[in-house]
Formats: sequence, C-alpha cells, structure tokens
Amino acid sequence: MTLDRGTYAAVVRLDVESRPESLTLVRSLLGAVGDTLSLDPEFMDDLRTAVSEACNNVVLHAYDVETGPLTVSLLATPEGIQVLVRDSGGGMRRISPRADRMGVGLAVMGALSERMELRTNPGGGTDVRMWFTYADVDPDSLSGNQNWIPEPASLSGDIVVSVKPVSLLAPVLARLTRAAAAQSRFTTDGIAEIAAVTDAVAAYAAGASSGDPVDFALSTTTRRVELTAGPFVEVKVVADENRQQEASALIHQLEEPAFQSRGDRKLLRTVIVDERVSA
Amino acid sequence: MNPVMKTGSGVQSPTRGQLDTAELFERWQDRGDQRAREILVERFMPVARKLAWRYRGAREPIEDLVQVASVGLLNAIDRFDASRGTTFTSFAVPTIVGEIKRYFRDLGWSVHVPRSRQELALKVEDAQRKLMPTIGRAPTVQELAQYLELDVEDVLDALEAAAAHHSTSLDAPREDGEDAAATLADTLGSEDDRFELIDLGATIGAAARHLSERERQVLGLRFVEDRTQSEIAEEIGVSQMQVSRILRQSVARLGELVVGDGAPPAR
Repeated sequence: MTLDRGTYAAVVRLDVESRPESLTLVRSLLGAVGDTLSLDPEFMDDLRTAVSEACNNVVLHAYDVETGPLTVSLLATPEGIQVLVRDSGGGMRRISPRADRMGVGLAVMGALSERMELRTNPGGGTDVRMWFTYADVDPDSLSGNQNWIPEPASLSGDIVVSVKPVSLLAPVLARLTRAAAAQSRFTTDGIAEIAAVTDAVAAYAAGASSGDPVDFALSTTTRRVELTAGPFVEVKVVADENRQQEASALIHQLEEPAFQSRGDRKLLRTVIVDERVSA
Repeated sequence: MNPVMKTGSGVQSPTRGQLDTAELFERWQDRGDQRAREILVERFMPVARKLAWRYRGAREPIEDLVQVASVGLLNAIDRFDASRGTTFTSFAVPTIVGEIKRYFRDLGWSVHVPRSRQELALKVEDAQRKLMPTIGRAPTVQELAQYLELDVEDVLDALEAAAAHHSTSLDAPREDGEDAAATLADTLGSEDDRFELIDLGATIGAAARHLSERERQVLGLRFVEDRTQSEIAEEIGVSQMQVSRILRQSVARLGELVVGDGAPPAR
C-alpha cells in the first residue's frame, strides 16, 4: 500500500527502553514509514543514519547505570519529516560536543538533517529535534512546530506505539511485530505468519477506529509476542463491508483473542506464539 | 623532530587540544607546513573512518570507503576557515559525508541500495534452505545471523525485502520452471507504474538498461504481454529457436547484473 505524502500529516510515536536492541525497532519504524510514503532511498538513508545516531547517544549516554525510556516521534508533513528523540536522563552535559565521540555524532546529525536542535528539559532529559526536508521542498518554507510532541499511547508494554492516521497502522504494526518476534527468537516461518495477524488487526482497526490515534503495545518473552491494540469504538460505519467482515472473522480465529472494555472503548488483545521451536 | 609534534607544550589551557588544532591549521594553511597537515590527517582520521563505517554496504569493501572518506578529510583540511568560528569537526563531517555520497552516486546510487538488499535477501533465502534440514525446522533470525556472520538486523532487513518482493509479485508465467525467469517476470511485469516501489523492480529496471533494444523487446513480449515464443518469433521476424536463445541469454545477463559478483553496475 502506498500513501501520497502530500495529502495528510502522519504522526507516529514509539516508546521503548534505551537498550541497544531498541535501535532495530526504531529503524524498523523508519523503514515502515519510508516504504509507505515511498520516500527516496537517499532521503531514507540520511534519516536512518541521523536518527540512529541520536538514539545511540541515548542508549550509550543518557542513563547512568540502568536503561531508561527512549521516545522517538515522527511527524510526516508534505514538506518532510520531523523527528524528536527524547530521553529522561542526565541532560545535555552528557552529549556535550566537547566529548569528541559525541562531537562526531552531533556533527553527523547536523550534516544529514536540514536543521537540528538540542534542548535540555527542565525536568531532566534531552530533546533532539531534527528536520528532514524532501528534495523538492524549499527548506525555508519549514514550519516550526517547536513544541510538537504526540501524546503517549494509553497502553503499556515493552514497545508502545501510537499511530495516526489509521492507514499507517498496518505497515508499522507488521514491521514492528516482526522485529519484536525476531528478537524473541521466532523462526522465519513464524515471522512469515505474523502478517496475517497484524493485517487482521489493522483491517479491524480501520473500521473501528474513532479517528484518534490508534495505539498498540507489544510485550515479548521467548517465542511469544503479546499484542494489544486500541482503543476501538463499536464498529458502526464500515467503509468496506466485505473487508470488515473478513477482518472480524480473522480476529476471532486469532490465538486467545480478547476484547477488554475501557469505558466506552475496547482493546483487542492477542498472543502470537511460535511453537516450532521447542525449549 | 618537528616542534609541532610536541603538542601544546607552551599552552596551558583547558582547551589545549583545540588550540593545538588551530595552531596546526595556521601552520599548514599560512605557512604550507606539510608536517602540520599530516598531523591533522592523523588526528582526524578516526572521524573519517567512523563515517566510512556508517556507510558500509554489502558490496563496497570498507577500505574503498575509508579511502573515499580520507579524500573528503583532505579537502576539508585544505578548505577549513578557522576564522569562521566553527569547530573543524562540524565542518569536516558534511564534507566527508558529501564525498562518500558522491562516490555512491558515481557508482549509480539507484542501483546500489536495492542491489545490496536484494543480494542479502538471496543469501538469507539460501541459508534458510540449507539450515532447514539440519535443524529440522525453519531457522530463527539469530541462527541465520550466526550462520551468515551478519547482524540480526541485516537478516531481518533481508526478510523484509523478500516479503515486500513476494507480496508485490505478479502472477507471471514461469519459463520452464526456472526461478530466474519467474523472478524476471514478476519485476518486468510491474515495470510500467509499480516497479519503482519495489526494491527488486528498481534493481532489474536499472539492470535492464544494459540489455539491447531487441533483448528488452523480447523480454517485454514474453513476460509483460505473456506471448509465446512462436508468437514473438513471428512478430520480430526471427526463428523460435532464436527467441529462445535471446530469452535465455538476457535472463542470464540480468541475473548476473543483479546478483552476480562480476559485472559492475551502471557507471
């Protein structure tokens, strides 16, 4: 599926722990967005390198001993992509350009993005904002959106994502679930089957989304991925009835599917297990 | 041997290292001191090397990229204007990155990226087949990574590339059950409007430019229009045997251009 990058603003927020493996998840997210918007390979390469660099700084330097939260938010507009990488660690002193290693990282981020800003937050933590403009866009036309940050998802898990519009859910959900499954030691057969589950969830979401961002959370243990998505409203208006029925049928075939109520909304929960590998 | 080697002997300041760099630039740029330039190269070579590593692909030997990055570093050293108040690193990195990108562009950037991904996808598929009987089930990504001596993320990327390819494949006719022909059919069949969205499509699309007019025509008739070899023979006025040979040769050449280790990409 391809979306026209000019027709809407897409917003994605990813919350993970600042572990080295999380970089794979961040890049999976970028890949899903890039593929969906058919972004130029060279543009994607800059984006991937610069964002990896910013996240790497968080993984290596933001927290003293333990890991901590790492949030990567993306805003895709007709002009380009804005990225915010946020941690709640010790603040700017850790990524001072004076420390030579970090200097290179910052220089790379500065070189590859149109504009970069660093800010220490009063409550602790650092924000790195980077703007990447498409080749056919005048960089001066960049709108600021300085304080832009999407709301955190209303779910909890190892990997928490918030996506808007719902049409971006399918690729992002598929890619991140596969990445999470790979990390929790799924076989390639098990990984190949994941698309059926995530497509069903995304198709369901397309009919049951309230128009707000759709959230999903992934929690993993060995060969097991638990997926929660929502919040959904009762399905009332269905754009494509056949597709919706198909999705509902698929949803009910899922392993341990369960709807949980949350006020007038509901959450969909399912578990994906790869039983090919015996412990 | 040269006093410049004794870095900062006379300077007692917390920013000693930076003053030294400034001093070296002054010696090289104002007085043409070659030794100062060499020291600058030595000092900033780790930066160039680090950048080269960031851009390493499946094809380019890392030494080549380091070489390219060093050229960028030398340019930066010669052109750096200390009076502008920026640090050398913040000036050098864009210069070096620019040099690396120009190198990729000269190699044919559009071919470069999907090529390596597609190559990886084929390697991973091959490894899956080899490991399956040994393990008695499909391998995990970690097992593949270990077997192929790759990062887990590279294997995952390869699986994504393969999935993207399979999901966009068209049901084109197979040529005598040959995989190469089926793959070709998939990609050529989507050439008109969809192909630039597919990694492999882009790769073959680029590679197809290396074929002759006639070879492309025959491939198009066979796989896009789904014509038989005899029909094609009649259309272009050659024997069916010749059509068969042209098909075989062009498929083999495309295979070489896309996955082979010999043939260079477009220059």
